[in-house]
Amino acid sequence: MSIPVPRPEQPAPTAEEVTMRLLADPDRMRELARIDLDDPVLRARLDAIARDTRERLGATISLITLVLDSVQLIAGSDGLDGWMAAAGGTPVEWSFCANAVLSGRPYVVEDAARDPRQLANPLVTQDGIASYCGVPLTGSSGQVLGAHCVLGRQPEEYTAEHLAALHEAGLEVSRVLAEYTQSPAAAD
Amino acid sequence: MAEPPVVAAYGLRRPDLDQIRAAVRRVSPVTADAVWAGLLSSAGLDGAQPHGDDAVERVVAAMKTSGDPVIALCARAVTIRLSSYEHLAATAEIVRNLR
Repeated sequence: MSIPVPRPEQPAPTAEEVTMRLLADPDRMRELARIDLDDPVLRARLDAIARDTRERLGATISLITLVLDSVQLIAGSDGLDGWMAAAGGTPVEWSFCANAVLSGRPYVVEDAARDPRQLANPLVTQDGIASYCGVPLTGSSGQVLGAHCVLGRQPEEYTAEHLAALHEAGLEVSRVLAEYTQSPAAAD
Repeated sequence: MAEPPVVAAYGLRRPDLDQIRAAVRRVSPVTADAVWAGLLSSAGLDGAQPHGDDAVERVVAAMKTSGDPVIALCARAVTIRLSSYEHLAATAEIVRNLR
Protein backbone atom coordinates (compact mmCIF):
# COMPACT_ATOMS: atom_id res chain seq x y z
CA MET A 1 0.00 0.00 0.00
CA SER A 2 1.50 3.29 -1.03
CA ILE A 3 1.38 6.31 1.20
CA PRO A 4 0.13 9.42 -0.57
CA VAL A 5 2.77 12.11 -0.76
CA PRO A 6 1.39 15.47 0.33
CA ARG A 7 1.56 18.00 -2.49
CA PRO A 8 2.18 21.68 -1.91
CA GLU A 9 -1.18 23.41 -2.07
CA GLN A 10 -1.80 25.52 -5.16
CA PRO A 11 -3.46 28.80 -4.29
CA ALA A 12 -6.99 28.95 -5.67
CA PRO A 13 -7.21 31.23 -8.70
CA THR A 14 -8.75 34.61 -8.03
CA ALA A 15 -12.01 35.62 -9.72
CA GLU A 16 -9.94 37.95 -11.90
CA GLU A 17 -7.67 35.08 -13.04
CA VAL A 18 -10.67 32.86 -13.80
CA THR A 19 -12.23 35.63 -15.91
CA MET A 20 -9.00 36.14 -17.84
CA ARG A 21 -8.66 32.39 -18.50
CA LEU A 22 -12.24 32.20 -19.80
CA LEU A 23 -11.68 35.22 -22.05
CA ALA A 24 -8.42 33.71 -23.40
CA ASP A 25 -10.35 31.00 -25.27
CA PRO A 26 -8.03 30.17 -28.21
CA ASP A 27 -10.70 30.26 -30.94
CA ARG A 28 -12.03 33.61 -29.70
CA MET A 29 -8.54 35.13 -29.46
CA ARG A 30 -7.67 33.89 -32.97
CA GLU A 31 -10.80 35.53 -34.39
CA LEU A 32 -10.05 38.79 -32.56
CA ALA A 33 -6.49 38.66 -33.90
CA ARG A 34 -7.77 38.49 -37.49
CA ILE A 35 -9.48 41.93 -37.23
CA ASP A 36 -7.47 44.78 -38.71
CA LEU A 37 -7.71 47.05 -35.68
CA ASP A 38 -5.21 49.53 -37.12
CA ASP A 39 -7.39 50.44 -40.10
CA PRO A 40 -8.48 54.07 -39.54
CA VAL A 41 -11.53 53.60 -41.77
CA LEU A 42 -12.76 50.77 -39.55
CA ARG A 43 -12.28 52.95 -36.47
CA ALA A 44 -14.13 55.86 -38.09
CA ARG A 45 -17.05 53.63 -39.09
CA LEU A 46 -17.30 52.24 -35.55
CA ASP A 47 -17.12 55.75 -34.06
CA ALA A 48 -19.99 56.77 -36.36
CA ILE A 49 -22.15 53.85 -35.16
CA ALA A 50 -21.36 54.73 -31.54
CA ARG A 51 -22.29 58.37 -32.20
CA ASP A 52 -25.59 57.33 -33.77
CA THR A 53 -26.40 55.03 -30.84
CA ARG A 54 -25.50 57.69 -28.25
CA GLU A 55 -27.70 60.25 -29.97
CA ARG A 56 -30.64 57.84 -30.50
CA LEU A 57 -30.63 56.76 -26.87
CA GLY A 58 -29.77 60.16 -25.40
CA ALA A 59 -26.83 58.62 -23.58
CA THR A 60 -23.68 60.27 -22.21
CA ILE A 61 -21.24 57.73 -23.66
CA SER A 62 -21.46 54.94 -26.23
CA LEU A 63 -18.74 52.34 -26.74
CA ILE A 64 -17.91 49.50 -29.08
CA THR A 65 -15.48 47.26 -27.24
CA LEU A 66 -13.51 44.16 -28.13
CA VAL A 67 -12.83 42.20 -24.98
CA LEU A 68 -9.37 40.61 -24.99
CA ASP A 69 -8.03 38.38 -22.21
CA SER A 70 -6.81 41.16 -19.91
CA VAL A 71 -8.35 44.38 -21.28
CA GLN A 72 -11.33 45.76 -23.08
CA LEU A 73 -10.16 47.54 -26.21
CA ILE A 74 -12.28 50.51 -27.21
CA ALA A 75 -12.65 50.06 -30.96
CA GLY A 76 -15.26 52.80 -31.37
CA SER A 77 -16.68 55.45 -29.08
CA ASP A 78 -18.60 58.68 -28.73
CA GLY A 79 -18.77 60.96 -25.69
CA LEU A 80 -15.74 59.36 -24.03
CA ASP A 81 -12.84 61.46 -22.75
CA GLY A 82 -10.17 61.27 -20.04
CA TRP A 83 -7.79 58.40 -19.38
CA MET A 84 -9.99 55.69 -20.91
CA ALA A 85 -10.01 57.46 -24.27
CA ALA A 86 -6.28 58.16 -24.02
CA ALA A 87 -5.42 54.56 -23.11
CA GLY A 88 -7.77 53.12 -25.72
CA GLY A 89 -9.32 50.74 -23.22
CA THR A 90 -9.37 49.59 -19.61
CA PRO A 91 -8.22 46.59 -17.59
CA VAL A 92 -10.74 43.79 -18.13
CA GLU A 93 -11.47 43.40 -14.42
CA TRP A 94 -13.32 46.74 -14.55
CA SER A 95 -15.11 46.01 -17.84
CA PHE A 96 -18.91 45.97 -17.78
CA CYS A 97 -18.78 44.62 -21.34
CA ALA A 98 -16.87 41.50 -20.22
CA ASN A 99 -20.08 40.38 -18.49
CA ALA A 100 -21.99 40.51 -21.78
CA VAL A 101 -19.17 38.63 -23.51
CA LEU A 102 -18.93 35.87 -20.90
CA SER A 103 -22.69 35.32 -20.74
CA GLY A 104 -23.41 35.97 -24.43
CA ARG A 105 -26.43 37.99 -23.28
CA PRO A 106 -27.29 41.66 -22.76
CA TYR A 107 -25.94 43.11 -19.53
CA VAL A 108 -27.77 45.93 -17.78
CA VAL A 109 -26.81 47.90 -14.66
CA GLU A 110 -29.34 50.61 -13.87
CA ASP A 111 -27.65 51.90 -10.70
CA ALA A 112 -24.03 50.81 -10.39
CA ALA A 113 -23.63 52.21 -6.87
CA ARG A 114 -26.30 49.72 -5.70
CA ASP A 115 -25.22 46.79 -7.87
CA PRO A 116 -23.33 44.17 -5.81
CA ARG A 117 -21.10 43.24 -8.78
CA GLN A 118 -20.23 46.82 -9.70
CA LEU A 119 -20.38 49.00 -6.61
CA ALA A 120 -16.64 48.62 -5.89
CA ASN A 121 -15.62 48.96 -9.56
CA PRO A 122 -13.15 51.89 -9.87
CA LEU A 123 -14.95 53.06 -13.01
CA VAL A 124 -17.91 53.61 -10.65
CA THR A 125 -16.12 54.82 -7.50
CA GLN A 126 -13.45 56.93 -9.22
CA ASP A 127 -14.73 57.77 -12.71
CA GLY A 128 -18.42 58.33 -12.01
CA ILE A 129 -19.97 55.67 -14.24
CA ALA A 130 -23.45 55.12 -12.80
CA SER A 131 -25.32 53.03 -15.37
CA TYR A 132 -24.67 50.60 -18.23
CA CYS A 133 -26.64 48.82 -20.93
CA GLY A 134 -24.80 46.63 -23.44
CA VAL A 135 -25.33 43.80 -25.91
CA PRO A 136 -22.80 41.19 -27.04
CA LEU A 137 -21.14 41.41 -30.48
CA THR A 138 -20.81 38.17 -32.39
CA GLY A 139 -18.04 37.53 -34.91
CA SER A 140 -18.41 35.80 -38.25
CA SER A 141 -17.56 32.38 -36.77
CA GLY A 142 -19.99 32.74 -33.88
CA GLN A 143 -17.55 33.84 -31.18
CA VAL A 144 -18.65 36.65 -28.87
CA LEU A 145 -15.96 39.27 -29.42
CA GLY A 146 -17.07 42.33 -27.49
CA ALA A 147 -20.06 44.51 -26.76
CA HIS A 148 -21.89 47.63 -27.91
CA CYS A 149 -23.12 49.70 -25.02
CA VAL A 150 -24.20 53.00 -23.55
CA LEU A 151 -23.01 54.32 -20.20
CA GLY A 152 -24.38 57.10 -18.04
CA ARG A 153 -23.20 59.28 -15.19
CA GLN A 154 -26.64 59.03 -13.54
CA PRO A 155 -28.74 55.93 -12.77
CA GLU A 156 -30.99 55.06 -15.72
CA GLU A 157 -34.04 52.91 -16.32
CA TYR A 158 -33.32 50.99 -19.49
CA THR A 159 -36.24 49.66 -21.51
CA ALA A 160 -36.82 47.00 -24.14
CA GLU A 161 -36.56 49.83 -26.71
CA HIS A 162 -33.04 50.65 -25.51
CA LEU A 163 -32.02 47.01 -25.87
CA ALA A 164 -33.67 46.72 -29.28
CA ALA A 165 -31.80 49.79 -30.55
CA LEU A 166 -28.51 48.46 -29.18
CA HIS A 167 -29.18 45.04 -30.69
CA GLU A 168 -29.89 46.57 -34.11
CA ALA A 169 -26.74 48.71 -33.95
CA GLY A 170 -24.77 45.71 -32.68
CA LEU A 171 -25.71 43.73 -35.79
CA GLU A 172 -24.38 46.60 -37.91
CA VAL A 173 -21.13 46.60 -35.85
CA SER A 174 -20.76 42.86 -36.47
CA ARG A 175 -21.26 43.38 -40.21
CA VAL A 176 -18.60 46.13 -40.26
CA LEU A 177 -16.14 44.06 -38.21
CA ALA A 178 -16.60 41.14 -40.60
CA GLU A 179 -15.49 43.36 -43.50
CA TYR A 180 -12.18 43.98 -41.70
CA THR A 181 -11.62 40.39 -40.54
CA GLN A 182 -9.22 38.18 -42.49
CA SER A 183 -10.48 34.71 -43.33
CA PRO A 184 -8.81 31.96 -41.28
CA ALA A 185 -7.07 30.63 -44.40
CA ALA A 186 -5.61 34.05 -45.26
CA ALA A 187 -4.38 34.54 -41.70
CA ASP A 188 -2.44 31.21 -41.63
CA MET B 1 12.03 40.86 -7.84
CA ALA B 2 10.54 44.05 -6.36
CA GLU B 3 6.76 44.37 -6.36
CA PRO B 4 5.52 46.64 -9.16
CA PRO B 5 4.12 50.03 -8.18
CA VAL B 6 0.35 50.35 -7.67
CA VAL B 7 -2.15 53.17 -8.26
CA ALA B 8 -3.81 52.90 -4.85
CA ALA B 9 -7.27 54.32 -5.65
CA TYR B 10 -7.67 51.82 -8.48
CA GLY B 11 -5.62 48.94 -7.08
CA LEU B 12 -3.88 48.77 -10.46
CA ARG B 13 -0.34 47.37 -10.67
CA ARG B 14 2.09 48.44 -13.36
CA PRO B 15 2.39 45.47 -15.74
CA ASP B 16 5.60 43.53 -15.14
CA LEU B 17 7.26 40.53 -16.76
CA ASP B 18 5.42 38.12 -14.47
CA GLN B 19 2.06 39.48 -15.66
CA ILE B 20 3.14 39.29 -19.29
CA ARG B 21 4.38 35.73 -18.88
CA ALA B 22 1.03 34.80 -17.30
CA ALA B 23 -0.73 36.33 -20.32
CA VAL B 24 1.43 34.27 -22.70
CA ARG B 25 0.51 31.15 -20.71
CA ARG B 26 -3.18 32.01 -21.02
CA VAL B 27 -3.20 32.52 -24.76
CA SER B 28 -0.61 29.87 -25.72
CA PRO B 29 -0.87 27.25 -22.97
CA VAL B 30 0.75 24.41 -24.93
CA THR B 31 3.78 26.31 -26.26
CA ALA B 32 4.09 28.96 -23.55
CA ASP B 33 7.60 28.05 -22.34
CA ALA B 34 9.08 28.05 -25.85
CA VAL B 35 7.22 31.24 -26.80
CA TRP B 36 8.43 32.98 -23.65
CA ALA B 37 12.04 31.90 -24.19
CA GLY B 38 11.85 33.21 -27.76
CA LEU B 39 10.40 36.54 -26.63
CA LEU B 40 13.12 37.02 -23.98
CA SER B 41 15.77 36.18 -26.54
CA SER B 42 14.30 38.62 -29.10
CA ALA B 43 14.15 41.28 -26.40
CA GLY B 44 17.82 40.68 -25.50
CA LEU B 45 16.91 39.58 -21.98
CA ASP B 46 18.25 36.69 -19.94
CA GLY B 47 15.42 35.22 -17.85
CA ALA B 48 17.78 34.67 -14.92
CA GLN B 49 19.09 38.21 -14.66
CA PRO B 50 17.49 41.23 -13.00
CA HIS B 51 15.82 43.33 -15.66
CA GLY B 52 16.04 47.04 -16.28
CA ASP B 53 13.06 49.38 -16.23
CA ASP B 54 12.63 49.01 -19.98
CA ALA B 55 12.26 45.20 -19.91
CA VAL B 56 8.47 45.32 -20.25
CA GLU B 57 8.65 47.63 -23.27
CA ARG B 58 11.32 45.42 -24.89
CA VAL B 59 9.25 42.25 -24.44
CA VAL B 60 6.11 44.00 -25.73
CA ALA B 61 8.06 45.11 -28.83
CA ALA B 62 9.21 41.50 -29.34
CA MET B 63 5.59 40.29 -29.01
CA LYS B 64 4.41 42.74 -31.67
CA THR B 65 6.99 41.47 -34.17
CA SER B 66 6.76 37.78 -33.18
CA GLY B 67 4.77 36.83 -36.28
CA ASP B 68 2.08 35.22 -34.11
CA PRO B 69 -1.13 37.30 -34.41
CA VAL B 70 -2.47 36.15 -31.03
CA ILE B 71 0.78 37.07 -29.26
CA ALA B 72 0.70 40.44 -31.07
CA LEU B 73 -2.88 40.93 -29.82
CA CYS B 74 -1.67 40.04 -26.34
CA ALA B 75 0.98 42.79 -26.71
CA ARG B 76 -1.80 45.23 -27.58
CA ALA B 77 -3.57 44.24 -24.34
CA VAL B 78 -0.41 44.77 -22.28
CA THR B 79 0.05 48.17 -23.94
CA ILE B 80 -3.48 49.22 -22.91
CA ARG B 81 -2.87 48.07 -19.32
CA LEU B 82 0.45 49.93 -19.29
CA SER B 83 -1.13 53.08 -20.71
CA SER B 84 -3.99 52.86 -18.18
CA TYR B 85 -1.44 52.58 -15.39
CA GLU B 86 0.68 55.49 -16.66
CA HIS B 87 -2.34 57.82 -17.05
CA LEU B 88 -3.79 56.95 -13.66
CA ALA B 89 -0.41 57.16 -11.91
CA ALA B 90 0.21 60.60 -13.44
CA THR B 91 -3.20 61.84 -12.23
CA ALA B 92 -2.57 60.43 -8.75
CA GLU B 93 0.78 62.24 -8.66
CA ILE B 94 -0.87 65.56 -9.59
CA VAL B 95 -3.49 65.08 -6.85
CA ARG B 96 -0.75 64.27 -4.29
CA ASN B 97 1.16 67.42 -5.23
CA LEU B 98 -1.95 69.58 -4.83
CA ARG B 99 -2.42 68.46 -1.19
